[in-house]
Amino acid sequence: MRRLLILMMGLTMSWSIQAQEFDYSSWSFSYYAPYAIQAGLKVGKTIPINTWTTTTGKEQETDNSLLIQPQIAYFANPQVQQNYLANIELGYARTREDRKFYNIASIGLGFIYAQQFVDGSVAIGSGEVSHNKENINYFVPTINYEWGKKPKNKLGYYFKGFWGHRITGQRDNSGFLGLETGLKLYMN
Amino acid sequence: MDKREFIKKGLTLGAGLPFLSIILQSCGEESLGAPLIDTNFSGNVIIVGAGAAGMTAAYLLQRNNIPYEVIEAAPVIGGRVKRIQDFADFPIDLGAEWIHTDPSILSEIVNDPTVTGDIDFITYNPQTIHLYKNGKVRERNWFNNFYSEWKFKNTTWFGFFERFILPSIEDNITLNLPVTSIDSSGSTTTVTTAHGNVRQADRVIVTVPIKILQDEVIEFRPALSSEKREVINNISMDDGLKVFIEFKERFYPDALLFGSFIEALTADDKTYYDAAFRKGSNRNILGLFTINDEATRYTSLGSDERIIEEVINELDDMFDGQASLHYQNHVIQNWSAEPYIRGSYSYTFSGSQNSMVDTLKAPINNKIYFAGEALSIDAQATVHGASESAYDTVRRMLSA
Repeated sequence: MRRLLILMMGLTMSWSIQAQEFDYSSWSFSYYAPYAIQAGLKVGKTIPINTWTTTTGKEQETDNSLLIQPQIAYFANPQVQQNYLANIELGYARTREDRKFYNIASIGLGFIYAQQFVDGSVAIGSGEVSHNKENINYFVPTINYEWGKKPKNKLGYYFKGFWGHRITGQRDNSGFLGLETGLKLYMN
Repeated sequence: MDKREFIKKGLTLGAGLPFLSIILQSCGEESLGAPLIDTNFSGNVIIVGAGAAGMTAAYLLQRNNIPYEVIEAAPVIGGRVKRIQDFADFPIDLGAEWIHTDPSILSEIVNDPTVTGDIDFITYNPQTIHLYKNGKVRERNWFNNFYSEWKFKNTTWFGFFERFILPSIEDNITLNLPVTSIDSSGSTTTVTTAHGNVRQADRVIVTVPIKILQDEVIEFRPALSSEKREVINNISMDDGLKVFIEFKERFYPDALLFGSFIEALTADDKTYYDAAFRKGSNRNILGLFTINDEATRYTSLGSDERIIEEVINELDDMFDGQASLHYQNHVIQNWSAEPYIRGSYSYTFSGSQNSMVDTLKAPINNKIYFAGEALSIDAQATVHGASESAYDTVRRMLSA
């Protein structure tokens, strides 16, 4: 009877238990490529704020975590725009304990300080080129999806896509999307 | 066209909006080379055509103290480098407009460290980009991350040549002399013009547009080889048109492209654009740049009146009648109707571009040389490509 009760609970609902959950605490170092063509670097930290395990029908245990991920990044469109990003994401991470990979879905809010090349001059004698830049501030809400490999010896890798909007009062808004790939150095 | 050429064209073609050119910027350009050339050549040279290639070739001969004369068919210099100064409060390029590589190329063309003076440029990275497809205009500002080039800020390509190249060569340019034949069968080469003028030269550099060679406007004696003729006929140079319209109010984005993202990515044959972008102007000047079949749609209408009517109608359809509401003035440059140009610029090569260019570049009896934008491998269809071709041709000619 007791076994039957446990089985029924597993079949019909997720069940939280305290167990040896996968710990997402890590530092990330990534190649950050908005629009897939801009070149950038991003450093971030993943901080779990709540972790629990659920068991589904086939007694497969799934680790779940709520995470916050503060990040800073630099990316550039050479001779067009230089960008400095501070970003924070709130994510939900999920992985089955018998799998080698994890998934994170998150929402983010970032601030970009951009230096837009607007004009300049070239000295005809020397060929020296100087540029004038305009500073632009953007807020960048995003949704993100990350797929990563759990670590072996504390080192894992991941791929991430993001989509959002660059919002500014200084000019027209525009979409913001791109890719990120990098390594994660796990703390535990 | 092979894959390499396709990618190259996607990156470099046209004065329009070749997307992905951002990648090109980081590829770098080959240096044009030293302007002073070790040579034993002591004869005189005739340059046919006073466009970018012809002027650059003349400038190099001047620097090397080689006697030369530039013969231009049109009543003005410049060829496809042309400006209008009194349409807006900034000069407008009616022909080549964009700087398709790092602006330091301007210094490379002049190639003289003793020259003083700066050229101001703008980073041409349109911020508001719209796509027109299936009857709707859609905002696609994020496309601006895929495209950036440069333009002159308060001058033009013509102004650049006028200021830095022309002063040293203008006394050697003769206008209104269409060349009808070039005869290299004798010990010297005879250049005959439409007015019956005959000139003798030890070397001739032909810099006319490829379309002029296709149409056999100039008769070569002896005739061009079948290989050369085949190459000339297998380079496309189709219609080209630019229209600039002043409006009382602005209702258009920085750039308006046509088709899907992929089509906008690969096609460069029609663009509406804010011609005053970053020019420091308060005027609302919309430009239309179009080449090939898209241009033919307008040029085939037969008159400037019908062209502007068609353009305004098209804009009205896209922008709810605002074009005719705010229209003030316009100027049309129909390059296909220019008798000594007859189109836009070299576009596709039906075959290996490298080998075709090599065939065309090969001098005839070491007397007749060719130069022009079509002969630049690295920068075909650009002004700096025309200059690069002139550097290469003059160097080969004086070194032969």
